[in-house]
Amino acid sequence: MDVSIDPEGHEVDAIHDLVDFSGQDVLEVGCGDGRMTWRYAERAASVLALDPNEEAINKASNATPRKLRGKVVFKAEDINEAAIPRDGFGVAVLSYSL
Amino acid sequence: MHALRRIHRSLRDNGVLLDVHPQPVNSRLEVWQENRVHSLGEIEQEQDIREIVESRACLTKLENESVFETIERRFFDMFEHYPSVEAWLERWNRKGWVFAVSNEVLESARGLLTAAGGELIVREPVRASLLQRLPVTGRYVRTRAVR
Repeated sequence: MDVSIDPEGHEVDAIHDLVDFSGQDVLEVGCGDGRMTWRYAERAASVLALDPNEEAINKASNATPRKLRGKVVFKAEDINEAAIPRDGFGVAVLSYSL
Repeated sequence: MHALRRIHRSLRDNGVLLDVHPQPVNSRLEVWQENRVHSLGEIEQEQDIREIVESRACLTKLENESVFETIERRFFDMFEHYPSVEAWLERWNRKGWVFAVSNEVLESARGLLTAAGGELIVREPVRASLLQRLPVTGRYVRTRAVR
């Protein structure tokens, strides 16, 4: 038996109930190992996911499915210092961070 | 606060912010067996709770300043499933999370899982909020026309 986080899908139901990610450019802050990112990235047009934890970012980058490569970019940066475009995103996701 | 202002600047005019955070309460440990739920007790997460309260205060301040406005909310329980107490402790310690739990609760969980199998469950209440980015309103400065 493995560890399983939210197999009931309560989180994924809630976020898709609140936001239509279809075709959106998304900024995710505090993405960690990408656990939340995988829950919406397929629908988004692009994802820039930031987290200052380099180890977590490496894990997320390595786990990126082939079909999402080129669409999802993980960066080991703090939102307070990262170079992010002004007016560049339709959705920002703040999940278990700050 | 600075981070939230940067997020505001990075969003387009009609952009939205999805904020997903645990409620500022302790998570609970349970053991699930067949159709039975054993509620064992709380995991003390004083530091997390303090940080969540501070984070919410920042969001509230920005709402009061008309930077963001909450549109909708959802409340739900997140369940983490573990095959054993040790698997749970290993994951949470590896993540570096600060928490405490009584030996009595741990022993109850181990006893139940050893006796009749099942899963160790962490139940965490969560709030997801959707906030609308509001436009920056420039201060009106009245000037005298100069000829």
